[in-house]
Amino acid sequence: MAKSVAARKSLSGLERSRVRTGLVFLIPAALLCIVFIVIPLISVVVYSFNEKSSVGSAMTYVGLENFKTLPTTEGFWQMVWATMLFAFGSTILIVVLSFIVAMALDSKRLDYISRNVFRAMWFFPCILSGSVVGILWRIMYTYNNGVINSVLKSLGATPVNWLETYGLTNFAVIIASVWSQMGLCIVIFLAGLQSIPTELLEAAAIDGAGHGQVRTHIILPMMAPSITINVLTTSIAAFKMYELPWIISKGLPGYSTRLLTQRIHFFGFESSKFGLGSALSVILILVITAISLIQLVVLRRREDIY
Amino acid sequence: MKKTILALLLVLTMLMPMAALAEEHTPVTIEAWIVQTDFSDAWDEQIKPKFEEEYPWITVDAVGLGEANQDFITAKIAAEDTPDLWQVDNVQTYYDAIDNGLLVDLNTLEVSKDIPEAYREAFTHNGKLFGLTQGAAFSVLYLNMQILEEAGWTEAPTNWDEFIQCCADVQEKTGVAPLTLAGDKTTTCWMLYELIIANIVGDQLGLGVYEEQFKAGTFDFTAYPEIAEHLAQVAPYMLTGTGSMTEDDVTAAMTDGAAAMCVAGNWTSNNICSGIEECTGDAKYVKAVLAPFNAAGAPVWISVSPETAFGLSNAPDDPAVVEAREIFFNWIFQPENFKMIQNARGTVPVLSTMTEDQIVLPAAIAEIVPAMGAAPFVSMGFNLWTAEFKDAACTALKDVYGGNKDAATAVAEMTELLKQYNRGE
Repeated sequence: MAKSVAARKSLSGLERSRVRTGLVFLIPAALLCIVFIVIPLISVVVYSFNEKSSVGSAMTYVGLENFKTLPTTEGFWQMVWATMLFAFGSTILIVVLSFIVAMALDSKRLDYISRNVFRAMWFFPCILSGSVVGILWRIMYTYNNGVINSVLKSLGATPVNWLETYGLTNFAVIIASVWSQMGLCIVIFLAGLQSIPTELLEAAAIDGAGHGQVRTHIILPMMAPSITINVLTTSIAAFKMYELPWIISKGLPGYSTRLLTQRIHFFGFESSKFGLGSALSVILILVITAISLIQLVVLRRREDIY
Repeated sequence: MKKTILALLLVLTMLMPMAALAEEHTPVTIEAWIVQTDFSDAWDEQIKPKFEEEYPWITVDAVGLGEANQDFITAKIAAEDTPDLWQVDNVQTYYDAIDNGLLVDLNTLEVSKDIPEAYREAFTHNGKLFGLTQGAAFSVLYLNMQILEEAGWTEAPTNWDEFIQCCADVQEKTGVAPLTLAGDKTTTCWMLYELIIANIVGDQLGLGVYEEQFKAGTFDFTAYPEIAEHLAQVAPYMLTGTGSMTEDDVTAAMTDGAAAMCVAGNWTSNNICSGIEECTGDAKYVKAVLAPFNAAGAPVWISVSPETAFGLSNAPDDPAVVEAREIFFNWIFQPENFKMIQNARGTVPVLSTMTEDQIVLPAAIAEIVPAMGAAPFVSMGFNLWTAEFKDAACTALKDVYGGNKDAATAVAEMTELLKQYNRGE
């Protein structure tokens, strides 16, 4: 305390003015943050311990009842599995494929124009909203007159029921998600690849390192921070994903592609049970936080090793 | 000079009534949420201009909600930002709304007496009337008679056994999928199943009993083994992909000749009948019948429901706005005005003050309306179920339609679901 008072006293007039200006600039962002993040977050936590309908402000305190009820609701564990499968499946595929594509796009064999054209093409799906991507892929996957099945039929192959076959639908939804989200990961990987000092690569080449050795012993370790960012952001986005899988498969077949975010929406907006929806939201927040922290610790440790 | 004075007097004379009008009424704008966007053309071109011409100081802003209506409405209700005119359905959100005084109890309005008791009853919660329906909906079996003729059927099947035989013949002789429906929409996903139930239990239980048991959670689907048997019989004849098909997909399938028959509501008759006509190139091949899921010699049971209804906001506001919203609500239910909404959707009229010449129905539907009016019926599922039951039961049904689950398991699941998730009424 004494130290902070002393520190405050030691600030010059100019510094104090700068601090004040900085605080003033922070106010709009802080207000937005409070209104749109902090207050809703607190509300969700409060609702999760209460029984509340979507209309009116009346609430009844029920303690942990909502949390106890959730696992007994219809299809809950199938939805947990579907969410995990979607989150981990899409994260792994997005990160691995983005890395491969970024390496290809960074190749010196591509000329300036084609490199930029390919980069723009890969980034394009990122600028589309999840709903648009969902509709596009639904049109692709539809059994009757869907684009993929029309191609299959024209090749003499049997059409596939992409949207109602257990396992296959999970794969179909993940592919759509991968397509829509790879662009941003590729950009981050490209930035990482371009920040690798060329001296290092040249030195390795002089020492006789082959392409494979350069990739595994120089490029991959140097890309560790980019991998960390991509794994974290992609997995968080996957856990939060709502509209894309819903538009494509509506959770079918059974509950096999129904995500927990969609269940939150169901409780809140269809069955008018804000308490249950909020409890599930709280659980999801905790799960995402825990998984992110684990990833952060593991990946940072890996970065430190390198 | 005289001319100038005269001209000024003339202008003043012309302006005086307008000034008086302005004094009498403050211009107000009211908001209407319209769920069914398929009458948006009628809204823009007929309804709004006619009303605003008759009541020039009132402007009606309409928000078309479409499929996402439930999300939008729930979010707006939570934010206490509700419209003046609502469109309401028979679901929990609106029960909560009337319970919380957000909607007017329409029993207090004279116009409510022009809607038959059965339709008022459907939108009554805890004794309060929260919506006046815009029409009646019922289940229909649409047939592409060209495909049926190819399969040896010159007439539509008239009972369950014939229907199943017809499906078998169509599949075997034409290679076309015999049947489809919009599995993506819960109302139509459930429609086929409720028709099976209605025709099996209807005669045994009598009118209204199934609904009572359903709402109380005591209806036992497994107590009638024929329900699972019939569902198992029909499931293999479904067009692949039916479980995830939207109503537009069904229209496309019928237009492409990918399916010979479809179960759907009368509200999609315009699209489906046009689709069959486009497919066959001749209107004579378009046929609509009450789904013949009855036993031979027994009456055909159908499922019916009031359509989405209009509700009136009870939110406190400027007296001029409150007056304007009541004027608009009463205006809608005048026959001359109501016909614009009803005929745009092709629903069966329920407003008792309408005359024959004001009603225009699609040809295929007009043909079966007399039979529909005389047929015994059950209420469509959305009038009976809870959100949880609807979600789980339709998920099970889609699995049956997709060949992922056997009918007996799904039917057994539904009995358990209904015990757990019912309206308790």
